[in-house]
Amino acid sequence: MASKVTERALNLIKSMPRVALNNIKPLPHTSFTKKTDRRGNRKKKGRGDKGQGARGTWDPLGYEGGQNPLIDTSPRERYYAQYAVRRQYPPVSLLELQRLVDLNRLDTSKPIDITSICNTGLFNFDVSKNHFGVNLTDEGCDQFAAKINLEVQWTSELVIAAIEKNGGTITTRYYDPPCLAALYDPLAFFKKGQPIPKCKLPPQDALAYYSDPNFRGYLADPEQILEAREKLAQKYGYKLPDLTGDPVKEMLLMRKDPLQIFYGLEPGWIVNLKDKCVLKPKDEDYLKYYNTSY
Amino acid sequence: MSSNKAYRSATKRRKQRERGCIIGTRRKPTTQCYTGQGLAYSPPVTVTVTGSHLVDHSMGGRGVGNLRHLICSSMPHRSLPTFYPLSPHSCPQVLPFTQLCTQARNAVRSSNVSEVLHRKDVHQLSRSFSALKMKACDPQNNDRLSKCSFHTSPMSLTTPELKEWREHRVIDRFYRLPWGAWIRTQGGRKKGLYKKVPRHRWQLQQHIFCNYHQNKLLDKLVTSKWKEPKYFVDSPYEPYHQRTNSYWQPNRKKFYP
Repeated sequence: MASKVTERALNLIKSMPRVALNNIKPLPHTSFTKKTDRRGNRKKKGRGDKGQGARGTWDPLGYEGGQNPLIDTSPRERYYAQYAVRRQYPPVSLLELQRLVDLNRLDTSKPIDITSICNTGLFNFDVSKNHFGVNLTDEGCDQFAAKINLEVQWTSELVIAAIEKNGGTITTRYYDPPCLAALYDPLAFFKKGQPIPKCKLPPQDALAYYSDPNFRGYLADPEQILEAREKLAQKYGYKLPDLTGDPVKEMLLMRKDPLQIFYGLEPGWIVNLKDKCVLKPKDEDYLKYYNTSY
Repeated sequence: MSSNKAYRSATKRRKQRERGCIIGTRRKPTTQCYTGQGLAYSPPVTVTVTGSHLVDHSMGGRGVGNLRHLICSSMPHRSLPTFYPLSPHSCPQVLPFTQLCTQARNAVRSSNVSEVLHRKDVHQLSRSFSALKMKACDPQNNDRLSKCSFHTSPMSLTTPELKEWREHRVIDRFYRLPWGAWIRTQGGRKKGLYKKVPRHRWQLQQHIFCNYHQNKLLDKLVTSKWKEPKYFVDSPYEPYHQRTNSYWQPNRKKFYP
């Protein structure tokens, strides 16, 4: 039989709340508390005795005591020549693309372009930093096994081979910065209420690339592209799948007009999200402007 | 000999001042030596470009889909949005202006878009530059000058603005690899080659790394814009953007289950 004292003690413990972080504290003198009382050394403000530290007369960065500094002695080299004008293409690998398809983040039954890749939320680019789209790299080209209609901004021959081997198609397409900004976030763009811009032609140094059938440029001759497909299959040693009897042939051959940005929407149209309608221009001048490229 | 030495050091100082890049001078600043300070930003200019450098040729084949005819028309003096990439070769008028004054060169270098100036704007700016130069000597501007003075600029007062004014000295000579290293070229690689052994000549042509402390210094001298990764295609430095066989900076690929 427990005595009254022990009974009382046990009842007390039972009535107490559960032991938790908010009702315990460490043993005294287990943690070190820094002395915050600085009333002692007020005179030097924590700057020590004399010298540059106390007087704030530091030598400028890069100064080497009068000796010619590294910043002066190194020869000048145009590493960053034209950095502000040159285009940048943030990379996306084929492996990443395969994963996005496997995890159902990308719908292979529809054409995949830069908007679809950005809508996954795993890829971002910044137009203000001279990013001009997606650069598809060849990492994971051996494991790639998706049949897609892809539209990117820059790619290499090996990537094209990997995609065409699996029965898909790929085009390289140029977008100018205002169009790219609209493509990055179409919802935000439609909320602005601005007409869809027409896409300008690529600059002179990019024109050769986007007119080249070997890179599947959107300005290249379609017959030359078919020839290039066959040549590439011979080069890399795979059999080119025949798309004539393919059930998704229509989807694989969907291409945008050189002035067009969004599938199914033409330049000049205004998408009204609130009233859920699309406004199209009727004026001749507007139609002429939005249907011609200068 | 002493007068010759004094003359050489004076010319050296004058040239440094003109370049706008004095560091660590022990003498007190005079009122005339800060022409390059605080004036790095030219007044806003209109950007006018002739349309001749735009696409002016007919296209051959087209992609699958509705084809539209290209109308090539030269449109003189059409104003373009500032983010449209301009070819620097299209407008040679930039050269005389940048040769005029240091701060113009600095402004053009530090701006994101290469600003193209029409001929009449050049005269306007040169006039405004001389007006600003007179202003710099004004005793009322002493406060601004003392803040921008090079000879005593404590590390704690290095603002991002000051960094931007000076970072061209680093960017002109060094290249930053994304993993924190900086590379540079060697001096003397083009001089006196006749007296150098082939091996020596080859060695001098190599681009070399800076050491740990130099890397830290150069990172401090430069704004974060230069530390962001750049995604140029066909860059000769791309193989060096990732380290190999490094214990401290392993090149870990993204894991896919």
